[in-house]
Amino acid sequence: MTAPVLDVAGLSVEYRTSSGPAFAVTDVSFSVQPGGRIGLVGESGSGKSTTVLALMRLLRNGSIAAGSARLEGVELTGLSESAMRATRFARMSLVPQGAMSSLNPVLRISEQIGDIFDDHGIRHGAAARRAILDTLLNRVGLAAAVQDRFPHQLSGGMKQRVCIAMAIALEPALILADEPTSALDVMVQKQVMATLGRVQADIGAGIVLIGHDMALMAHFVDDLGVMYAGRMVERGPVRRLFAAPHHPYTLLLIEALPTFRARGRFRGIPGVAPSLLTQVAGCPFHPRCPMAVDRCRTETPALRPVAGAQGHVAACHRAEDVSR
Amino acid sequence: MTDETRPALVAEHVDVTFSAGFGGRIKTHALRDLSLVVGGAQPAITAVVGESGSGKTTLMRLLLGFQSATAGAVRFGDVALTEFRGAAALNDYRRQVQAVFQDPFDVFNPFYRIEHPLVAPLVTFGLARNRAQALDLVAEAMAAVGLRPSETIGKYPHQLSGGQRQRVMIARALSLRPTILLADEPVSMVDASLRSTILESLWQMNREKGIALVYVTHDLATAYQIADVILVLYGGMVMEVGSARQVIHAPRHPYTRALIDAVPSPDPDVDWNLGDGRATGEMQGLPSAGCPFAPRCADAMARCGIETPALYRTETDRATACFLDEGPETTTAAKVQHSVGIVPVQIEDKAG
Amino acid sequence: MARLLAFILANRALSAGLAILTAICIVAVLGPLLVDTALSRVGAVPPRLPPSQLYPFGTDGQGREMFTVIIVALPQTLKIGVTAGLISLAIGVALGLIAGFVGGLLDAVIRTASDVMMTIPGIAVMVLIAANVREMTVTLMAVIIASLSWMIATRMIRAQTLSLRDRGYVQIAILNGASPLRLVFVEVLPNLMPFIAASFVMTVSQAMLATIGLEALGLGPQNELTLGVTIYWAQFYSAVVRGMWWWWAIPIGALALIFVGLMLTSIGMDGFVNKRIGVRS
Repeated sequence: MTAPVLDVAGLSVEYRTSSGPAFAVTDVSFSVQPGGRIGLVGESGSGKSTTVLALMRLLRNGSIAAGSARLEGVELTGLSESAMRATRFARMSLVPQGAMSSLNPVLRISEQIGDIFDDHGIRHGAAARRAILDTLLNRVGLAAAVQDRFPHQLSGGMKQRVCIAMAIALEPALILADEPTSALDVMVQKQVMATLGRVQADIGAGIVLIGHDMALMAHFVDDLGVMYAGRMVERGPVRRLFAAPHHPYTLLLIEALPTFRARGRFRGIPGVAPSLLTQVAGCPFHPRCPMAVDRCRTETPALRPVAGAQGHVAACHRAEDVSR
Repeated sequence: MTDETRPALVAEHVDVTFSAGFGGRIKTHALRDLSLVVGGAQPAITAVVGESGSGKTTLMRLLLGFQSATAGAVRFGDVALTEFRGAAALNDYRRQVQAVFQDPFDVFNPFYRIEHPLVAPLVTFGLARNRAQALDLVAEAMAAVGLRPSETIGKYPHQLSGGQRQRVMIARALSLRPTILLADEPVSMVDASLRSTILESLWQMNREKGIALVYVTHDLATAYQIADVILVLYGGMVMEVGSARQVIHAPRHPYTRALIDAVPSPDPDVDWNLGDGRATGEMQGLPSAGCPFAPRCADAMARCGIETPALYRTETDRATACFLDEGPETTTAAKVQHSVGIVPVQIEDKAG
Repeated sequence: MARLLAFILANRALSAGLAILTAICIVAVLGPLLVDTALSRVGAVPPRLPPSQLYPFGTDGQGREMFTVIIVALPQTLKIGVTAGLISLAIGVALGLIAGFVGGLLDAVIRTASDVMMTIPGIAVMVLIAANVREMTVTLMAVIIASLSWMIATRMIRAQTLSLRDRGYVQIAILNGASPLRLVFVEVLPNLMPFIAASFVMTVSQAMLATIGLEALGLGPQNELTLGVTIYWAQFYSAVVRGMWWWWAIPIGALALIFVGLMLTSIGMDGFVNKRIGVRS
């Protein structure tokens, strides 16, 4: 078994708010193999974006309260800020949410991608730099001429590809993609995801894909982690999760998905997600769970392996009963 | 109900063109020769499916009277929207045609409590005599959409979640007893677990109260889930229109087929055909002549870059704007533009 | 109200600024009641005396007791600044709201008028008017200054109105059958309040600067004492060369204090304005 590129164990993140600490992420664990793809899916407030920001140490008003995250064996939580800066983009890069608005409107694309090389002390002569940028842009399916353009001259999908190019410029071992296609039209989304998958395979990086679209996850990732109220409630190979979910939330999320196979069928999940300000006793999902029993109110379920499956875990007292 | 009490909202051969630049040289055709009938005797759920730049937002604004047409007219009953005489006629239109918008954060004035935009119209449109009576109706409407009035009324917008706010907006629309509801991406900014619930309440409004619904979205999957009729919009033109089942399971237009192909199915065993993403994808801007989809169309012919296809009726309740569908049966209809809604469409009740 | 107070106290710049301004206002209001204003007239006391126990701010070259002078001049200066600021603001809000909300030709006219007037050098106009007016009073000064400083407030309020006009809640209000008047006063105006408050601080600062500049040039009110006029007399009578630092330094110090108060309030309001107008998620 090869060593994982990323190994997160028991990660907990708290935010400082005026009403006290918000437990944004509690005890989250997962790992990514080299070239592997894992998805973190959840709704707003589930903690998926926070997890990724914590890994990049880009938290504002928040801090890692517990746990560890090892990138290629190096512990990220204790790294100094300068070591962290050297790591970002070089060993681990982020395609952030709303990446298209992360481009500086007054700089040309060549300058923005060039900055990544410069910031990591990699200098090139003008001609060499141009050639490198050409190759990079071609890799994400963009014409070389794009490097002389400004962001406003590019479409949404093209800007997103530029962000992907920036993320792979230094060939990192891990790419964190936070909702990279949420703001894009569906046809462009497919092309951008295809591009992301291809370049990831090219450089052999692992990828952590954050999103809320289960259907997208189903076709892109190998493993899927379902997050709710800051905790990971189920994790395993994506096909297994869809075929036989072992957590009621996963099951309900899948059933809520609209499909071309049924009209007039609406299955939502009643209730609201709990506030992150209180550490709820028992299972965080129990108020909305159709299968809750007394035990769920008092005892927080731990992530237990699911019988008869490799790498499939679920945090539910009644995990075996979920898939009839 | 007779047609007088349920006037239809009709857009006839509407063009909306924006001019920019010095002397108005640069023209953007937001909507081209669009005809649509909403409501009337057969209140259906029509989904207008389009991506960004398709003209769907302009269509919403047009139907709500926020935008005027450069050519053609929008009528409510017999009166054009630009020709309402007197406050009574205008208020009648405003009461009967309601809207729900995409952003649940922006639609509430942060200065006032949540019931502020609900109480005002009840009094203005004469549905309640005073504020106390209005508040009763508000509570009733909120309960109908699954909110608890005691936990909602009196709160400020920032104290409620996005999903709750969206439901308050639907309660507002419902409380005014409309005959037509225009919903612009009502669930795209709402969590997945709540989407179905909100869509279901919209669906029930149509089935139980006979309110005609126009569901504007980019999400083909939810459009299929809720709609009787699907209208596919691209570059300001109707590309295809027909019953939901036909459009999704037997699409005729290349754009519709490309859209369906791009939607990931919620089943990992159904192949999505991801490919390697080599094609550079979307164009910037639309072509100045011919079919707007031609530059991206795998089946494009030379003619497509020069001539704009008309909307050809291929069956009694289907039409497609593509030269591939121009044939002897359709040509003899003299390439007449057909409006959805005037075309009789079977409204199915069964799921599946 | 309690929320407002709590907010102000949490914001250090705002609290400090408002505290300074409040203290100055208290002195300006109560001061003249507690001193003998006769001492601020020419020849009331022996001239050219440096600060001492008897005369804490000294006396000027013409025999005015400086402490009394400051107490009397302060409210006058504030009066001009605040009056001019209020007039500017009122014009700015009215024109800005109309231009932003109604748009079209009216907007074009207001916008062009304010842009053109912004280019007119205020000092030149003031000198012309001052030279031709028989008696320049505090009120007249305030009016003239206001007429030359309404433009920026108009532009600012217009810009904010334009952005608020397209908000979803304004569209919902239109769908609710609200009349244009209701839209402006019920929907838009309350959300404009933070900007109006910030503009007020700005117009007052602007007005005071213009006033002091003109007074120091000798174009101020002739028969009333203001801080700027005091500075004028000081330099007219060569106070710097003659070493009577208390004659010019103390009024300048008072002015500096007023501006520090205004600046801190303005900085403090920045945070308030930005938080309020941003989307509350």
